This record gives sequence, structure tokens and C-alpha cells, in this order.
Amino acid sequence: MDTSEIVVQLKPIISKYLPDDLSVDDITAEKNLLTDLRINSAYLIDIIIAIEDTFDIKIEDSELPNMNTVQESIDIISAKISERD
Amino acid sequence: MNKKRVVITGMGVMAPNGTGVDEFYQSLLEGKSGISFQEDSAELGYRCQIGGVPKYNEEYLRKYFPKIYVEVLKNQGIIYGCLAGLEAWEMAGLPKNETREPRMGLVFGSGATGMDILSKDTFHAINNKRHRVLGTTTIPQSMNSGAAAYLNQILGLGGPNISNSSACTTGSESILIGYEQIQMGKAEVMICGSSEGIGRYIWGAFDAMRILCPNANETPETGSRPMSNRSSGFVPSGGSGSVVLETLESAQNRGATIYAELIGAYQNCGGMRDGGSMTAPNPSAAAECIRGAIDHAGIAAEEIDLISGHLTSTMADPLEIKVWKDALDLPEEKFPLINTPKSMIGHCIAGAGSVESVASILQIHRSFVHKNLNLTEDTIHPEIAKAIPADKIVLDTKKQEINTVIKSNFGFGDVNCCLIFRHFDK
Repeated sequence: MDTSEIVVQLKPIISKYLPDDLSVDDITAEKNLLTDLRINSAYLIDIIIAIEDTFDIKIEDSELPNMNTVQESIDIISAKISERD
Repeated sequence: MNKKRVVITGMGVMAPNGTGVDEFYQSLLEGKSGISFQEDSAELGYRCQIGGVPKYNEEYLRKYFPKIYVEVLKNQGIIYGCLAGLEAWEMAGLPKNETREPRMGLVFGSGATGMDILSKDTFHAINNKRHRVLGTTTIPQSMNSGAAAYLNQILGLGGPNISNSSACTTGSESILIGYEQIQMGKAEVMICGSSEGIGRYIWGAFDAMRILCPNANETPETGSRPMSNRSSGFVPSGGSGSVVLETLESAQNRGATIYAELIGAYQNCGGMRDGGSMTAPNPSAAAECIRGAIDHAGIAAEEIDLISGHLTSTMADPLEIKVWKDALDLPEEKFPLINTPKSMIGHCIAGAGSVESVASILQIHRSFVHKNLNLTEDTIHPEIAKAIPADKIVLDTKKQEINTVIKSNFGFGDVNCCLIFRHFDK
């Protein structure tokens, strides 16, 4: 799966949890999920669960601190998919 | 202690016959039932296959909810509670606070939050070894404080945040607790309310107790018949009511519209002694609760225009009438009018007291008394007909000034709560 395909599938997962004044177009690579996209930290685990189900991968608790931005999330998803395949 | 004057400056409601205060008012005025046939109850073989379900569409959700709530909230009791609370807050003209507001608080109670229809998915996932899909929103939506927490996530109130649960008195008790918090000086504004969800898990266990109406499955709207000789059990329903309580000073300072004043409140318990049990009230304690509210209000019983009874459409209705008669101790001609919205909406259980309080305040504010649906002069229960004059039982909706309403609820665990609302007069 190439990066652009990951992005297409990742955006709707994240956008479900955006505050009302942000939209899917605000989800760009450099954005920090908590500070820029202002996602309530309570929902981060829901995003992880949805990522695991969508991409059929498993993300360890220890990897969560490395998924701060959209790009970091894409990188981890991409690496996990390569590992799996 | 000098009592502060506490007034109502906002109302909200999600009732089976009314989504929002305006629609609820219209339905009360027209005597419109919100009870319908429940297919799920029929499929499960319940004796009672009818119920009251508040209705909302996506447009109504989006009017009040941020989009994240539309996405994640699945518990009907919490959805009703948040919608009623946000409507009341908006009607009061109060802001959704950007920063924490320490002089405002919240009391929002509920009954069986964790047994809402949402639990079907929860239990299914766990039983199928897929608990991981429950994510982070299942626990907040099964907490008894769930409605309070989700509501306050939007309002940002930093004063007391309380979630009470006292069976059928939960709603009126939430208003009593809010009143007490204001009297204690802990807040100037308290939003109060209660909520009950819907569905098979809540209703099935009541059905097993054989206290639900089993003989109106073909004619659902006729099932809830409080005070009737045909009362055969209550009709289960869900819903939520909410009121904004505020010190008179605070309301006047900000020029808020005042819908009524809360002049008396009292609660007690029959101790499950002297005729009281888990499910039946100790009559002397229930009467003491009513008198306690009247004493607290500092009024005479004859000043009461309308009783909004608990009156569930069970065999307890004649006993309740006797309690009212003993407690008020008035000559026949001075006995107040009596009605209950349960005839139209069924029994909202933990939501009942708050939804019915909204109905009480509306009758004061809009100057009318609503009829008891499914009751005619010749079907009044004989013991009730003997106890009080027939013309005190409201059989037809009429426009008239209502100055003072006494609202009571009696709940499992032998708990009682009574409130007195009055037309606001400077």
C-alpha cells in the first residue's frame, strides 16, 4: 500500500473526532493530532483501534508516543504494513 | 436561615410526545399520546409490548450537538439528557463557557444508564471476545453520571457536579439537590435534570415484575390510564427533563425571563416500614413528605391549585390519592385539581420527575391544566371517586390561571420527593 492510499483511508478515521471548526481538509501531514487538530485525548485510543482494524495491523502501547503528527502516524502504519506483508 | 428566592429561567425536554418544550407544550394542550407499539418487546414475548420513545432526527441532534457527539453518543438516555439540558441552557440565555465557570453547577441524575439499548452492542462484543472494539466511549456512556459528564463537557460548569439516582424520584430529587446547593451558597445557577433510556434490558425486568400494562398491545395509546378502574400497570418509557435554577438576584441582574419560582422542596424515605416496601410507599411517610414541602414553602395547603401526582396507572393510584387527601387535609371544595402527564407519556422512570416538573412549570407559565388522557367520569377508580370530588380530576384540558403546583414522585426503595412551583411574582 503506498502512502497516498494510506492517507485516503486515514483521513476519515481522524476526521470523525475533529472539533466542529475543523474539517477533513485540515488534516495535513505536519499537523499534530492533539495540539493542531485539537482532538480530545480521550479519543486517541479510538483512532488507534480504527487504524488497527482498517489496515489490519497491531500498534503497541509503546509506539503511541511516536504517533504525534499525521505524518508520524502514516510512517508507522506504512512500516507495520511492510512488516506484515 | 433566610431562604434565597430560587427561580426557573430555562426548561428543556425530550418526552415521548414532545421533542423540545414547544412541541411538549402543544402535546399536553392537545392531550396527545406518545405511546406506541414496540416490536422488540413483542419479539421477546413481553406481556407489555408498548412503550414511550422520544423521537429526534439528525437535524435536531445537529442543532444542539457538536458533530463528535453525533458520531459517538449511542446511549439513548444520555442523548435525551444532553438534548434536554442544552435546550434548557439555551432557553435560559446562558453561554457555553470557554473557561471554567465556578459559580454554576449541575445535578443530572439517571436510572439504569448501563441497561440502555446501547448495552446490546456492549454485551455482544464482550460475549464474542471482541471487547477491544468497545473503545473509550463505552464506559462514559454506561456511567450513571454519563449524561452529566457529556452535558458538562459542553457547558464547562465548575461548581458542584452531581449525579443522583433514586429510582422514580430521581428527577424531582435532582431539582431539590440543585435548590439545596444554591441555598448553601455553592452556586448561583444550577442546571438540574434526569434521564432514562429505553429498550429491552430496562423494560424486560419490569415486565418480569408484572407491573407493566399487559392489555393494550393492540391499542397502545390507551395503555396508560392513571386513576382509572381499568389501570393495569404502568407503560414504560424513556425521556429527560431539565430546568435551570437560579437565584432571583442572578436572574434579575442578567434580565433573564422567569418561568416560575421554586418555593418548596422536601424529601424523605418511608424506611420500608409501616406498609412501605421496596416497591410500595409507606403512606404516612409519603404524606409527611408532602406536608414537609408545604411547610418549607410556608404556604397553606389551600393555596395549591394543582397536584401533579406520581400516579403511574397501577393499583397504587388509589393509595396515592388517599395520601394526598390525608396530607392536604382540606375540605372537599378546597381540594386542588389533579393530573399527571403519565397518561400521555407513560412512566419515564428516572426521567419522570424532571419531565413532569417541566409539565408543571408549563401549566403555570402558559395558564392551563392538561387532561388525564384515558380517563372519563365513569371510569374513575371507585376508591378515588369516593375519596375526592370528581370535578377535581381533570378530564378536559382547559385554559386557566395556575398559580401553585405541587409535584411529587414516589420511588422504589420507599423514597419520596415533593416540589412546589409557583407563578413568579415580584
